[in-house]
Amino acid sequence: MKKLTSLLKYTFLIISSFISIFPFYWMIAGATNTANQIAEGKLTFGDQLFVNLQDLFGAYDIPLIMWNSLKISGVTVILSLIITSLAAFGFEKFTTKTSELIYGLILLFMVIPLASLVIPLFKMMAGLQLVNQHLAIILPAINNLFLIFFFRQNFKSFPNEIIDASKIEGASNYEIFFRVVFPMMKSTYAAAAIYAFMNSWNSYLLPLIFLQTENKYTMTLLISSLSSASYVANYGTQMVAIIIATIPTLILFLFMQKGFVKGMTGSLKM
Amino acid sequence: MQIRSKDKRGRRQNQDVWKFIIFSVVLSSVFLLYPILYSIYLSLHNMQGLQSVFVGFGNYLRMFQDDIFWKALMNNFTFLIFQVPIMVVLGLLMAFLLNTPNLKGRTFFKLALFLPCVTSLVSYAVLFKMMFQMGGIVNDTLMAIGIVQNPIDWLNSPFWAKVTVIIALCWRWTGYNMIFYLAGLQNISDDTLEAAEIDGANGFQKFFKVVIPQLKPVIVFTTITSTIGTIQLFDEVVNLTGGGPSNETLTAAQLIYNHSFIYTSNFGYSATLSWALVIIIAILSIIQLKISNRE
Amino acid sequence: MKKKLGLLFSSTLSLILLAACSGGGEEASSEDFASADDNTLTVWAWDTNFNIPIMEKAGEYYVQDGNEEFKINIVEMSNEDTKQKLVSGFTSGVSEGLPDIVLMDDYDVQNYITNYEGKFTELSEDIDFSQFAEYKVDNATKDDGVYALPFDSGSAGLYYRTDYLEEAGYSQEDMQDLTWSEFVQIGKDVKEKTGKWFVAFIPNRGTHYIQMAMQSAGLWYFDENGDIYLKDNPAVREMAEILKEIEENELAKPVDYFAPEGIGAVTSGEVAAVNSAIWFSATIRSAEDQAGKWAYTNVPQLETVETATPYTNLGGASWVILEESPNKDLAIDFMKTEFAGNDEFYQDILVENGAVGTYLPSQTGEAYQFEDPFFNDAPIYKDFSEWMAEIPGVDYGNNTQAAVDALRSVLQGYFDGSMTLDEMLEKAEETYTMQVGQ
Repeated sequence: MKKLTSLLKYTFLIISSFISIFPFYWMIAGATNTANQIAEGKLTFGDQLFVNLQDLFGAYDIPLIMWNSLKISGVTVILSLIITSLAAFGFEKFTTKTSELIYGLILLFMVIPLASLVIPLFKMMAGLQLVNQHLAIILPAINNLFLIFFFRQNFKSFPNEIIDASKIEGASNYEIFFRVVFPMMKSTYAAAAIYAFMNSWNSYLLPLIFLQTENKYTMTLLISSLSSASYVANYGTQMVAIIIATIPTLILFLFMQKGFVKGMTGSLKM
Repeated sequence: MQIRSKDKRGRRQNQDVWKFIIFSVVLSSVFLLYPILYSIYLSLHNMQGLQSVFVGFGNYLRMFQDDIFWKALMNNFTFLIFQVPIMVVLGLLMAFLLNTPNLKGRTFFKLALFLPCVTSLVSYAVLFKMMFQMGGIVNDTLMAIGIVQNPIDWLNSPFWAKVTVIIALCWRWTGYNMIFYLAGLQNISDDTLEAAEIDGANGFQKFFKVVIPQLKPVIVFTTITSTIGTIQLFDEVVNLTGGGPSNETLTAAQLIYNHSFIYTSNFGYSATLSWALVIIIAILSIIQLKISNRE
Repeated sequence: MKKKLGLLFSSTLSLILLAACSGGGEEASSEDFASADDNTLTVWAWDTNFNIPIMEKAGEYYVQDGNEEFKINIVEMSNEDTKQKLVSGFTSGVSEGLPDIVLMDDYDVQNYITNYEGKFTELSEDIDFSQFAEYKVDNATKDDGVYALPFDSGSAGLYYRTDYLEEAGYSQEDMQDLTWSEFVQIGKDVKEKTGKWFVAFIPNRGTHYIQMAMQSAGLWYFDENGDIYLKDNPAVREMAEILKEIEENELAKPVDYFAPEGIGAVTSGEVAAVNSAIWFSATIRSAEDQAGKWAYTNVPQLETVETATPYTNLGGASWVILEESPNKDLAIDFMKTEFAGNDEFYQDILVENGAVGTYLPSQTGEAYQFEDPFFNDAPIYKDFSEWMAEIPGVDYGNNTQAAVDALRSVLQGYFDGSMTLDEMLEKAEETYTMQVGQ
């Protein structure tokens, strides 16, 4: 019986893992094949990798586009971590009636589809002279509502005594936050950072609307334009672009996944 | 603790809350509240390109008679009803198995299962579209194994197109949710599980009697976030099926987009549809919370 | 209160500054906007195999024509993205970041010039439109003004594999002057005798067939009042039945005909026939191993429609110039010089890119007489251009896209037998009316 369970367990895990990994294998193999070979479902590695790379790097300034994506995501992550965790800390530890009301509104706002806010946002950014500027994508993304919710859940378990003790020692509110709370919650921040980075890295609608010139493009935007801007789509170069765009999130995840799991744990004490 | 913080003599002044939330409140007002109010204003107008006419609640009345909108909503619910439970069960099972002691290759399995969620929504939709072509790799494999005799027209038959979307969603999100369950499982002490084992519980009993009840808050959390995600579903269907065939995979968010940018642009009506969607999601979330609190 | 406001202001400001600084500081460089430069035109276009290299070539010619400072900056952008950005810009009244010239699908042109009045430059004072194919000029006309310059022709024909058809018992003579029902019958024979697919497209998305049928009879989705016209539209009725037969007999390989799978189906020899426009000839020709195996003729003709012809159009696009472009005059002069005056340029793109323009004077050029060895020395450009002159003009109206989606939403139900033809078209009309909100 025990052996059978064990067998079932491993079979399930192996099949699931295979299904999870297979598209990645296929994508990497695809990067070495021609568009037609990919369309025909060729599974083995080919010799087109160099050609595909050349096509992609020849047609687009990939280092610049990568840098754009990294810059936007980096700035968004840092700013949104600071601002949303500050807010969450306030909401959790300095609760007033008004603040609870605001928090309730924020939870409700979380469900609004971005598409419905595009036109007002566009008008606003135009007024601020920010169309075709990366700031136009960063600013609306900083105040990530899910992160406020996430941080607040985590701060629930932060002992009030520590805050009070620091107060007695004469620390200001901000000092408490940055010197006491922040260092104690590192894994929460790690999890939030991964979430925020992926969110920003993969964001599609805002870049699509605000970025007009190719030198401002992000990787996600490039992938979607590769798959739609020509009637004869070149699958090979698309595969290469997708791989390149996936590398940063992959690396981030590999290095921070322990922290991610640990950080997520905190948010689950409801 | 709460009592003390509300105590007037407490050293923490609750009015200090503004010092913390002010940045967020300012940003929310500028980049969220203002656009929201503006979109309410838009929803009272019927627009056609640059022309705009005040119609009061006309758009809302139109919405109630709009079969396509309701069909799109039904599609959202179909995805929701199938995808969320499948994903939750699979995710739980994976987390539970990964958490068993003496598992060989734990790190590998964990990484492998989580890998899908490092891909962007656009990327994986593009990948899946290639894989699920009529002559694509999925059909080739299924026929080679002998599961099907003839290729399945995944992307163009009303039934299979829905299935494809659900498969794609499960692929992308199961591992992601699994992480939450893994995290939740680490809060369940080994003692509880050992005690269950001593009482003679087998794996299945442990799973259903001990793990599931303890993980309830996590399950509620992931269910709500997945519900919101499925209702707002857009990137995947646009890139996979384009909403076809016969609008069988059209989602509400895609319809909103079509009314904004694909048909003669009418931001008034698309704002109306957005608001209907917001209200529906809010109601659903409240119901889910209520149900989970009652039990 | 004052203190609070001060805090609010300073915090927002510092936030923006912070973001701007960490942004690297190169954000504000104005050179990104080509319009800031007097001698550069920014163009949005799609298709790196067709429109984009053609526009580049036009730029080169313009430099040669004595505008040495001239530069062209072409941004690759899909049709959907183009529309989305135009709509965002127009609706919010912002012209910044918009280009000078935009490629626009012909089916969208009426919608845009009607609903975004004042956003596109009126061209008839500068450009002589009598030199362009009439049906395309009609499409770009509103209230006696012409707001788009018709570019490539969608003059369509039936391409077929002579070897497969011979195997099925059809000679090239048999393929001339077909009706649609004869076309389907041939398809059945081809499938039975050769085992090949007859065509490659998804029947429930086959509105391009319906559109070809309608235009060949001078009809469209709308009647003369601009109201939806499906249920009583004889072209739609006949073609819907044809599509049903194609679907039922599984004559079509169900792949998107624009996507690599659809193109691959043609180039890898899986299908025997394609109804498409002249621009598709480049794709067919790319299958070099099939040289000499392809022929072409007119598209099949409708039987139940009196006005039916074997001449029709599929796709094609026009260039529009944005009224608010700071380099509007340069853009007009550029378009006038090259796209409405340079025969050599048109000969060049014909040979290089297989582009048949709607600019009529260019069609007397030598390149148009080219006898293509790929098609057994048939003068393909000359033939398609001659057909072009016969294509009935139709008014694409403002809502073609909504009509397409309405039809696509019901076709499968009709194929499955859950709706009759009448029920389906009635349903499509209802859906359309609901979507455009009339």
